[in-house]
Amino acid sequence: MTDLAIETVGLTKRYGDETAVSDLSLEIERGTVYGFLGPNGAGKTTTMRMLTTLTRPTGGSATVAGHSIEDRDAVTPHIGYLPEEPPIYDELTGREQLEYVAGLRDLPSEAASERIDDMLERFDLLEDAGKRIDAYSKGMRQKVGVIQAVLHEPTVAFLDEPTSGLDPRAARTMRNTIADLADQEMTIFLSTHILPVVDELADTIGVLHEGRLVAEGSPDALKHRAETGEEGSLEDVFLEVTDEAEYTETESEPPA
Amino acid sequence: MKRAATIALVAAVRHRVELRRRRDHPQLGVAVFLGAAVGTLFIVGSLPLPYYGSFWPEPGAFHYGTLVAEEPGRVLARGRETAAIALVVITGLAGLSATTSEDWDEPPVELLTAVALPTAIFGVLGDELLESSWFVVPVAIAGSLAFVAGTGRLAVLAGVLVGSLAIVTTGLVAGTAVGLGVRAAIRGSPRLYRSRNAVGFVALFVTFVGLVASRTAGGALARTPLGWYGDLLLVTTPGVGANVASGAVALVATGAALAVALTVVVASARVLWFAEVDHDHDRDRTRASGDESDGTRSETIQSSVTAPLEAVLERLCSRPTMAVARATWRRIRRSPNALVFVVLPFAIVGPATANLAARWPRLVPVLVTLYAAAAVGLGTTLNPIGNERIALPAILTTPAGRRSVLRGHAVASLVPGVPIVVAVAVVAGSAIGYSAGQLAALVAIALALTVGGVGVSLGIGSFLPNPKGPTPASLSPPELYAMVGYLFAMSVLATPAFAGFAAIGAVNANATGLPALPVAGPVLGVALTTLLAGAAGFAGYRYAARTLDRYEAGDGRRRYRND
Repeated sequence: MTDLAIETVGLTKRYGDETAVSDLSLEIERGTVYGFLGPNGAGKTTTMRMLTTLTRPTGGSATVAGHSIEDRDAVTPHIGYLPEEPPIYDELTGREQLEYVAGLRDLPSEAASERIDDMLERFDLLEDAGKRIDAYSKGMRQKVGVIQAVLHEPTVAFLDEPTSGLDPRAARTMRNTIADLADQEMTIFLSTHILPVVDELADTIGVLHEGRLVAEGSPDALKHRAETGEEGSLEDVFLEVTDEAEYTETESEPPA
Repeated sequence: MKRAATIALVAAVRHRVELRRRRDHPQLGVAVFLGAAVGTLFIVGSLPLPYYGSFWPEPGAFHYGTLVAEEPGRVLARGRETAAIALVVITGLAGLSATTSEDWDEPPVELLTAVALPTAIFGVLGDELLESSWFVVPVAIAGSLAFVAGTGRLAVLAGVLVGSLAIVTTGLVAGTAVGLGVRAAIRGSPRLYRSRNAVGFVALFVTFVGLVASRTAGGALARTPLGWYGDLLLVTTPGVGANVASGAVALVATGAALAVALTVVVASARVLWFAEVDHDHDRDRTRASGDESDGTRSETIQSSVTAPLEAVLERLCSRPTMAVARATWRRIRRSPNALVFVVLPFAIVGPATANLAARWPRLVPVLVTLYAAAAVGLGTTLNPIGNERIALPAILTTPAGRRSVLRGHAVASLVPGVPIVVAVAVVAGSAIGYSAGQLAALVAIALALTVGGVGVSLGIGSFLPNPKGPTPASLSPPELYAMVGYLFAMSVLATPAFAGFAAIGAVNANATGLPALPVAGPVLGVALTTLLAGAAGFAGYRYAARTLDRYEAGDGRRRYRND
């Protein structure tokens, strides 16, 4: 079995004349955290949708957990997905929602129950688990969304902005949880705009701009980019590579 | 002047958004077109065109236009009647729309932080009126033109157009005011507020049925001041004797009604957008969630009743299917508005039964069975994709998610539905004196229509989903046009059964007035309905499954950049 949890070769997605993702090639090892960065509209969500089989690529190929993304039935048992808006029902309580997802995934009842309790406790949701989700705050909804995405211990978890709406304590719990999951050999594909989160957690960072991968490497390597020869923050790197890409595309002077 | 421009801008932009939504779901536009087309056929009526008479023989505006010279009194009476009924119907439709619209649920913060409150309210109102006008205005214009064409005099047009405009404007604005007023009045009671769609829909439908069924209702309405709008319509039609004073009063009344209605709209919108009802809502919600002791007790009792049933079902269905069914029951219990259309057959079964009982009493059990079976498919199965919209990414990335979600919704409808429909069929058949064989045939039809109907419902609901709900994550009632299409399909499926039972009557007692038929006729009718329902149900389920299979996240956002 390959050591790669995710492999894409020339992955491309076009909507009519518009190219959302262009010729994307990634190799992500098992049990690592891949930080996926990019400005708004860069194609991050489209990439995640392709990798989670929610939309079909118009070019290239990809495998997730060793299965082609063309084979939806083979991929889905191995993945968990938290989209930007948590896919949860207002009318259910937090516990009912998680039990529902456990049933949908046909997880053994007792094991699922134990894991639900563990995760609820970890995210400080145990007391509120009996309340309906429409009474939850944005952060509480986000927590339920994350728990249901990893409840079945998938090989690869795709998390789109998992710390969005969380208070500092909850955000810390989320970061610790992601680190723990990676320790348990779960691969985390993490899309976020919060650079310190990626800086702290990611083994590798990829920066997407205008649908193309414009930089990739470990956080340290990116911060010590050969071009500058100077140490900078991840924010400096992000601004630099996306500006460079802009310059290359427009063939004009780079901004000072 | 500046305020008027701002209101127009708000209404236009909001309406543009709605039109773009319809462009993403073109079937909605087709449905509105079909609705307006049927309304136009009714109002225009028969036309002197080849074969048109056999297609639409009912007289309408054109026909009465041709009678102006010969029977002016009859034209005036019909004009007053039509105007009065049109006012009631338009007011009712606008009222229902205002009662159910989500635009009045939450204050539009982007407007309230930018413009004065009345400007925001009138902007939202303008959008709502524009939306309703897509359905009402073409019918009004077609009726006006048909009447003018019938008279052959262009001078008639002025009065007819002014009258139509007065009727449409008064109906739409007054109806919106009534709907919002009622909504504001019940805002303090979460239970009543949640039931507003169902109650409003049934009230409107009963009114329609009353107007259609009762031949005297139109005349009675015409004798009220509503009939004066008929005088306004005909005031420039020479020779019919329209009362000019009554027409003028109608015109003044239009202005007064608009002023009062707009005041009510502003006051009601203020209450709806800024009402503080959280305490009641929370208490109600907590009870539903089983947090308080009362709620816990009720859920425990409920659980002890349903547990054996669920245990049986778990042996018959896969665990994922049961998970969906169980979640659907919970969601329905807490969002009963999603079942608004289920009450529809119960609202119309009475008048329809009374109508049928007078002519063919032996067909009444078939009709009652059809209505009961149709009600089963009017719940969540008629909007399977719309009800899962926010959860689709989770469902589609789950191995058995696609199949389980459709089967789960079907099981959630069929488990309570099948025994109820069979019981209704047996009771209705026994009451009318069906033999054992006839009862067995009726039960077969009940089963076929219920099970097949759910499949049809899944198919039509997938073709015409309602992607809008109170919140992105809550259940929403099916699309109105999906409901109409589904009821039409169910009627078609039941037609052979009606023919078959009519023939049984003929065989047994010649009670229907039809010629006596061999026994094979009734059997064939029942078998045909069973086969058709099975085939249509299977096709509907397959279509829904294929729609989910082909579903691509982000399809509706193709015009926009994807993050």
